[in-house]
Amino acid sequence: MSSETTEGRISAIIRRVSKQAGDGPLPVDADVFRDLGVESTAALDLLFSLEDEFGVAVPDDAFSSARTIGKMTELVDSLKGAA
Amino acid sequence: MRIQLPKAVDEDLAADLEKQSVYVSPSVRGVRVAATRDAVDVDFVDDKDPEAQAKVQRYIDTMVSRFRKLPKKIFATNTRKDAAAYGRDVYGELKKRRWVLELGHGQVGLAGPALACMRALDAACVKLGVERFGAVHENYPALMPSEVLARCNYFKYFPHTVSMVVHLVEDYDKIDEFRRVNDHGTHLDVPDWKAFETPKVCLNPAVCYHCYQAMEKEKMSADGRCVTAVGRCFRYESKNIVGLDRAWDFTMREVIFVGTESWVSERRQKAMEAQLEQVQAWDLDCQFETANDPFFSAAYATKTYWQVRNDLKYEMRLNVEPGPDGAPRTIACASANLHENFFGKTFEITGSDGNPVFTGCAAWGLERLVLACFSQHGFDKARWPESLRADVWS
Repeated sequence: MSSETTEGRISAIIRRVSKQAGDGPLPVDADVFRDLGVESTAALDLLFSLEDEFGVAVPDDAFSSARTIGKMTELVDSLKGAA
Repeated sequence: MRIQLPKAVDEDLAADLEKQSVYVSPSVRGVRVAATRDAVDVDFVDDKDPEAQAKVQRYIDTMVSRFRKLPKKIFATNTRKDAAAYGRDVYGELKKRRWVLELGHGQVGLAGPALACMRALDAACVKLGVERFGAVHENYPALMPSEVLARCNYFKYFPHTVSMVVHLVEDYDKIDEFRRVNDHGTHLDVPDWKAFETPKVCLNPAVCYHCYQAMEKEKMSADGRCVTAVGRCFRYESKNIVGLDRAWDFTMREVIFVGTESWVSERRQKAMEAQLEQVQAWDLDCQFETANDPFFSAAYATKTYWQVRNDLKYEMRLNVEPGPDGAPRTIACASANLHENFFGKTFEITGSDGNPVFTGCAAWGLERLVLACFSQHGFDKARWPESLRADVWS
């Protein structure tokens, strides 16, 4: 997975906000909060990071239902396409 | 002194900005958000105190800059049948009749019909828990080990409200010195703070922590378990402490759910419906809406976002006597909460599905409910709803 792809860039954000070391691939279908160690206190950081990284405004409802890297990738790509 | 905010804030954040400002510095008398909500007026003891100004600035930046507003969700509202206006100076009248006994800062006792009212309300909450959810009774100490509160992240998110219990070290000379300097019998003098140990216990800030602690390492065979308990709870609220609205030491009834995610979630929903039926029976104006806990400012934005985003907390806000300026007021008298599987993981409680259990609770602040009842129904027995009249006015 390239660090230049949306998925790769989101994985890097997940690693940072969950304080995970390493750069191996993260499972795209895992729940980032329940399975990948993103704590509740990091949710807002994750949201702001997605907005800053991709220059999009992420609606809260859509962010709430996008709990995997795969769903976040779809969401960000759709927002970028709509911009 | 007026300080411009980085952005205009909404009504709820404005209220929390004012409320939490009491913890910023003793050099701050008060903080008021301007009507335009894009600035705050700070009343400093000394306008030229740079340290206090810097603290206020850091406090504002922390509270406002990362705050993300989410729309409030209203679960339900109730409109009472009693058409009379809300009482004025209800608390003063309760004190005058000796139905409220002011015993110290945030330490309030009840007597007469106010006490009868609290008991009747509590009995209704017990009935709700036992009859609808099969709750079993438990009783807990007022003390809680500091280590348990630490594991519950209480010191991380609510350090400003913790009440710690200290005692003198077991040292003859230190105890005797303490005894001698307090010989006057008029107030407390502390000759040497080293005579106290780091507090190993705190006063319980909520009822349900003990319930989870008592289930540590338990492997549940059933889908869920429901417990009810009432207890004194302790939250230090500094200058915000006032009357029955906001006591340091208050009474909370809880109905607690421990089990699988769906079991707990369904019961939290049913508990909210039952709580709404209660206020309908008590004929009280209220609004039941999403809310956030009073997290310390450093964690406020992130924790509030998570809690509101996931509908983890609903509060029932009841109308009470208007403020001194005549403005309408509401206070949170009950809540219905989900904690996800935090306590299941913390206390290693495993559910029937083999995973850490989820937890939730319905809670009632009984003194606040008493204030709401007297604010909305007054002191004329005939105005009180049948569901409470006989018990309160016998």
